Amino acid sequence: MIQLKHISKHYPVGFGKNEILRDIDLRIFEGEFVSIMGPSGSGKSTLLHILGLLEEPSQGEYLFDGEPVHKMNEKKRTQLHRGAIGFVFQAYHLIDELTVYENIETPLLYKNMPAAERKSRVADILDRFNIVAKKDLFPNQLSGGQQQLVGIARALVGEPKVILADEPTGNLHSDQAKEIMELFKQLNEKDKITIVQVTHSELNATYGHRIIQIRDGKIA
Amino acid sequence: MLNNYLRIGWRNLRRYKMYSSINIGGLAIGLAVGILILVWVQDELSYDRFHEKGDNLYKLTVSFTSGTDVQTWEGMPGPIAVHAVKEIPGVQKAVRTRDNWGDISKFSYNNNDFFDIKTGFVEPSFFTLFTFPLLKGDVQHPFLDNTSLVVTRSAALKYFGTTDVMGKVIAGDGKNYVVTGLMEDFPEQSSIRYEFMLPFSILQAKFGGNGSWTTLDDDWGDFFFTTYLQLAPHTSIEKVSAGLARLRPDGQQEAAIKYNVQPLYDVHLYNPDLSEGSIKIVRIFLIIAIVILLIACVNYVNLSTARAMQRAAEVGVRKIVGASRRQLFIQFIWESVLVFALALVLAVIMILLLIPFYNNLTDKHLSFGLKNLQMIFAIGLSMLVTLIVAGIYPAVILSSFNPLKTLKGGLTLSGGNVSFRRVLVVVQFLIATVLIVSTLVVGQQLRYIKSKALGYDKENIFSFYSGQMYDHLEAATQELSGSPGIAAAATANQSMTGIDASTGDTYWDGKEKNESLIVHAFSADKNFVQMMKFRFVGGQNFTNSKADSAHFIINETAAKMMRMKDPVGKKFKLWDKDGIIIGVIKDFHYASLHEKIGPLVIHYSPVSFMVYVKTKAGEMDKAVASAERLYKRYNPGFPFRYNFLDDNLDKIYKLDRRTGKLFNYFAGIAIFISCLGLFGLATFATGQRVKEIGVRKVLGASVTNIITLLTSDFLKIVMISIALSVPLAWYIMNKWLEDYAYRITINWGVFIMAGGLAIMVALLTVIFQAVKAALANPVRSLRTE
Repeated sequence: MIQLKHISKHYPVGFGKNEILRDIDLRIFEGEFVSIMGPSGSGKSTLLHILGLLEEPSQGEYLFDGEPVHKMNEKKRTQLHRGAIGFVFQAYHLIDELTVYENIETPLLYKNMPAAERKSRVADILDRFNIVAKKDLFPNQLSGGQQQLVGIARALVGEPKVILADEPTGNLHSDQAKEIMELFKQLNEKDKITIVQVTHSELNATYGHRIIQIRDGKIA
Repeated sequence: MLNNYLRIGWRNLRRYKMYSSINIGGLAIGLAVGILILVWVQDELSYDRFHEKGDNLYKLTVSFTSGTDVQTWEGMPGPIAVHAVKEIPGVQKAVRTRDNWGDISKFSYNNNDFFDIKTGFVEPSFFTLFTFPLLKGDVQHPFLDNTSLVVTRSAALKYFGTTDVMGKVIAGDGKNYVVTGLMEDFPEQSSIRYEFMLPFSILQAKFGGNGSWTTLDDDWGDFFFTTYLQLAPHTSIEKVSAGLARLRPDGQQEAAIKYNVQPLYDVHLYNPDLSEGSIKIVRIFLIIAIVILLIACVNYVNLSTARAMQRAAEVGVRKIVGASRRQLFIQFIWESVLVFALALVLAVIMILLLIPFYNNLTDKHLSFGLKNLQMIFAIGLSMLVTLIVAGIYPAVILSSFNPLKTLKGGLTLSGGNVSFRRVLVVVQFLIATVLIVSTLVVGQQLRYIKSKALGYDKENIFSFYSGQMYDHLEAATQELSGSPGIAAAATANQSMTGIDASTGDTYWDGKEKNESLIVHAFSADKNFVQMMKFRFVGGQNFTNSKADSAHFIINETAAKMMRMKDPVGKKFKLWDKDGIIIGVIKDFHYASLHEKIGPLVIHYSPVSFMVYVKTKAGEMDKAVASAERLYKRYNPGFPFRYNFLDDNLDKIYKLDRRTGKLFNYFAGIAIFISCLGLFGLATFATGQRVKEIGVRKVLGASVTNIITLLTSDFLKIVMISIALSVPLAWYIMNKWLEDYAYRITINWGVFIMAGGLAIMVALLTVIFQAVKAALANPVRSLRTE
């Protein structure tokens, strides 16, 4: 499903360059639940961003579902964001001016989905996540765990093939964190969604099938 | 989708109330003022455009040149129209008109007397050449005979009390006139306006001969009649003009005479000599409208891009969940549309409130209703243009953000962006400063006009037409000068604020063959010269003796133009009046300061039809009452109309003062909108530097240090604007001043004052935010970061 070949990433610094990732080879199969771990500054977030098409590798090839991403134009990439990839962030990144309902609805708007279908999809997911009662609240009226729940709901509503999560529990206390991780596990097992998460927590990593350790820009 | 966009837009507006009110308010003011000016411009440009044959209609004027002095008259000799149609190819039809010059002074209907009905003598083709439709009557034969009369609808209502006026009889100076036509009112934008129209043939019948000319249609000597021509399409105006000059049958043709063929459409905006008239003001205000809209746009762009920082995270999230750049662009355009719609509603409310005041200011009858197509057009156009100008840039900026950077929170607007915003502020303040300078210069010139010594005494003097009193004027003025409240009485035949009678029929000692001199000439008596306190540089006043009929008093310019070193005692001839110059007076202003003082001759007449009265100080009312009593004795039943000299002087500068006033308002508005923008920017700029300020304070910066830090940036921008405004304002105002023959010179003080004002206003705007930021507790600002 995801295949990285000889991926490197570096930024120019002064006259030299700062290497973040060096020659990464990685395959992630459909239905996997992978955790990327490593110390601060090791390049794990950058790796996730490259997987999510938010950053471009300096060198190497990236195939998504067999298609070469590094050759795609912006339009194609937008298509992938709409259909295939869902994001979950440490800081949730909900839109403050939108209600829970509207936040979840947003990805569907960009897919130009008819209103009736949108409504039923959002209703389904609200129902499933047990947040129907909160649908008209704004993000700042929710707790952190609830916000992250909405964030996941938003990532999920577009029925992506893969969810990329950047320290999804980093801002949550342990009870909430556990709840979120259980949810991921369930999504992976029941809905067959591929999940790639970046995490610091050994505990969280155990929810996945496989751990990729990154050190100094290389897979250890 | 659209629903969603508008909802978010609305919530954003509500959430950032200050930002929203500055943005919407600034736009609304800009739009309201812009629209008001555009409507005025549109109104000015639409004069005489309603004539169906308007494209081919022309008005004739005639210019006489003598030396550097050119005089243009709007009256034509009677035969011109007749011969032009017959002899000049391309001239299809003509119509002559003449105002009522006291031919009929009083109309009476139903025991009511009317003295000021605007009456004109017109040829029947008036109603077919022009688009002045008759509601009742026959357009082809509007007049049955010389007792016929056509009235406008308003006049019918005003004087007859009904529009059912056909066949009604009204007396004009004792003669009866029968209404044979009812005309729709003249459109507001018609340069031709009457209430009553009488047949031109009355004038033809009344014609008493002029030298060897026996009919009005032969009389080449009197330039009395306003003449309009209809030309065949594509006729060369130059050829017609040249043809007109060859019409005179006796072949007498002064080389210095030129007929001007002026398109009817130009009559309102151009001078009779075809030079630019009020079109200049129209142009200035059109530019001001655009400039004010531009300032409002700049504000919008500035605030929106500054705000973009706060919207960046939202943009990032939207991109990640699948928004394309195009979709985001459309979203932000819709938000602009929302802001504009709100601003427009506010602007319309402002316009509705301002229209009475504005009409008063501009002396127009503009109305604001949705029926008014012009208004809708003006609104639509200004909306669309401002939206395009102001909406696109922020939308492009916002939709271009890199999602990753926005989410990391490390996004700062790139250098190019910030300097672009600075450039915008510079432009804004540049415009504002130019407007301040203009206001100051206009104000100075107007004060100069008011205070300039005119060369005569204008205090406590009023004048009136003698009417029937003329036959006993010598005795009457005698009596007047002894009446209560009156210091002196005199007569002359011209108004002191516009001595426009002139003639080239002059001869003097030492005149060369090809030389000619067109002089302004008027008649007066000894008392008049005394009353006006003209200053003699040589010779003396009339003596009111018999010999005075061969005496002339000239002004210095006349002496100079005749190259006379010592004019007193020299021979001079005016028309057929041979005589000598007995006095030379200093030049005085006999017209507005727009005009240069030309050569002038006063010839003696024991009485002239205009009576001048100087009142004793503080006894004006008494003096007017005395004059009225006497006037009524000779003119029973006629109202006493008089004018004080300084009122007349005020009147000739009405347009100047109005321009000045409008300048004041527009400059004020431009500065206000600019400050709104600056205030908004200052708010954002300090908001972005909260952390920096906190750190600096912890490191020991004083409140003054911080304020200086925050304000100096903006001050620099304003300084650059001021520097740039100097040459621009100087150039523009010199152009404006060129319209005055007598004018101030622009001095540096104006720029210093305008600059100081701009700096002060900018400082006041910015300092509030700076102080607030400087006083904030650093611990708190650092924690929130």
